[in-house]
Amino acid sequence: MSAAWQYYFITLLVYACVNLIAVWGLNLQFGLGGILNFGYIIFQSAGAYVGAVVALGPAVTGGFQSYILGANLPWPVPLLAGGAAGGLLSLVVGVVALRPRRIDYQGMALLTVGLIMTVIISDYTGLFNGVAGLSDVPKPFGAALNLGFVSYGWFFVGITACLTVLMYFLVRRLSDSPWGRQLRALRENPRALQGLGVHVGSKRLQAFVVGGIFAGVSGALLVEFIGSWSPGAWTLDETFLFFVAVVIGGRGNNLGVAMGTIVTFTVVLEGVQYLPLFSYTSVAEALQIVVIGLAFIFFVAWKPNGLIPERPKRFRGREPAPTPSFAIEDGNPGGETR
Amino acid sequence: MNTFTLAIGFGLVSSASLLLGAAGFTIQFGVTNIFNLAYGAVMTVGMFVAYLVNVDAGGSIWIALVCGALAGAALSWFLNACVFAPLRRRGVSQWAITVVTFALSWIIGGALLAAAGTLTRTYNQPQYRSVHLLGMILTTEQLAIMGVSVALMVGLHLLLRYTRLGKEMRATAANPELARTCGIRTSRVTSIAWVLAGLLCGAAGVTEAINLGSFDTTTGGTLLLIVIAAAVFGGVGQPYGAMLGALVIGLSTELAALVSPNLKNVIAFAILAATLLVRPNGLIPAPVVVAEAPVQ
Repeated sequence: MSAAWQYYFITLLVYACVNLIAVWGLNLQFGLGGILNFGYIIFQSAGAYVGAVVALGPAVTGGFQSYILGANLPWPVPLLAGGAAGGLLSLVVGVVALRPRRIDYQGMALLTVGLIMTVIISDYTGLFNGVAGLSDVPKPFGAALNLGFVSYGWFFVGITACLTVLMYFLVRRLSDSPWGRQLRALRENPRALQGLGVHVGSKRLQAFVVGGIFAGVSGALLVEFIGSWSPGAWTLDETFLFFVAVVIGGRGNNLGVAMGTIVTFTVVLEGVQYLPLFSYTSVAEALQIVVIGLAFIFFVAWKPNGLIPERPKRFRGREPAPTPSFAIEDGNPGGETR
Repeated sequence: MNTFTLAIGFGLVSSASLLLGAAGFTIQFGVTNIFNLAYGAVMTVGMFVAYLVNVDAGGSIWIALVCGALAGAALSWFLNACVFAPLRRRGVSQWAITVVTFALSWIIGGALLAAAGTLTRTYNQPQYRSVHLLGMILTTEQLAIMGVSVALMVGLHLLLRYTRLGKEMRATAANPELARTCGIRTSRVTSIAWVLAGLLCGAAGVTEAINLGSFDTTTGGTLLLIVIAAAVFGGVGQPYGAMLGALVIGLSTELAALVSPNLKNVIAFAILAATLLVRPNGLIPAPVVVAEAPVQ
């Protein structure tokens, strides 16, 4: 296999893993907790920016890019910093944006947060180099290993894959835990959950922050692979695609949304490139969005539970729960006593 | 005459088009209970239809404004008839409807991008005479936009307050089930609310594009931020609150632009954030029936 093809597959694999981590975060927020986070991409972006400036050396005055921090710290500190940044930003945003009673109201607030972040980052060049964005982000162990372009790529795929598996077990543990079951209850019937003595607002905020950490980690990982990051890399289109992935895959089911991600990002977005070109690229890209949007509406209307629906959890020695809102109906309120 | 009064003048002009947008957004939300994130895309369609009439067909900007508004109304009606009404009949939940409006904004945006490309466009219009008024300098065109806006708002007030249709709309907004039981054809009222909202939305899009001087396929999406900020400030679903919100946001964004043009969107956002913090359900909260029914 030629180097170019190998590198193509490396890119494909890394992007797929990054998107998987990100979509699990959104699944915690939207799939389990029912939060319409239309600004999801900004938390990934926060992770990427912070991950990048932590890995980069101090900014040179009069250099080609200006940014804050510049700590020059070794891997995996940028990754952790990225996750922390995603979580922190989620906390700050969540405290304000999750205040309204209606979830669509919250979704609107988060959408406007997403819009305004793009404006702020683009306008205030001192923060993260504005529209031009950051570049030359050092790669993890890049200098120490001294590998060739392609072999380093495979090394990076290895790191990414390990991290993705780790994150999968983490997200599975979280969503099967009593905490995750409370989130499902929050989605299905917040008032019943409140009646059981759970603070709905803080539960929602917790889900929001944990999802934000996932987003931050995915962003930090991505920026280390591509080496640069600018406002053009995180338009609201990406948020929309993550929502498509969650709904098509199966809202609330971690494996389902993983499949949704592969279908949406890898098969549909990449596969289109291999179709015969019928027009110039921008028209094809625009129509791609139209087609994905229509498919999405189709799923919402006719297959709202997605390709792999969420399964109600069965407990040993109990009757199987009839609906996903088992946490309330099986007589064990949210399982928080265990 | 100083920059302050000048900025107030600009603020009044941008409030005028914001009034249309926020009122349309809020009426549609109040009656249909759908938080329509595709509203910005409909505004953009209005701008482009007006461009077709104004530049390609050579019509005057005022005919273009009417056509843009009508296009907004038609698209809005179409969205309700072909997407939202069927989804509602299928019993699709509230979150799904909101996500669908989000998807629709992408579909419309993508279709526009495919049809029109990324080019920035400007309307074709003569140089209008400028008028000095209380230290503000306004063109006759801007005065006309303000006139149109005020006239439409007065019309809206009369419609909601004194006509049978207005009464039916308010009843549907307050409690759709009860309204239906009382013999109001709520599906017809909903349909009319979509058309009315679309009309205001298209008009808001075109007037805003005139104010801005140029537009492209993403302009409406960016404007949505300011429209939402105005609507939320007044309490979504409250037409009079939205009018007040538009005035506050319009004036404060222009005054902030005196300090730095970058602050314009930031200040709109700051007002939105402050509103959410202090009065999360708006200055004039929506009636409890509407606000709490579909929490899911």
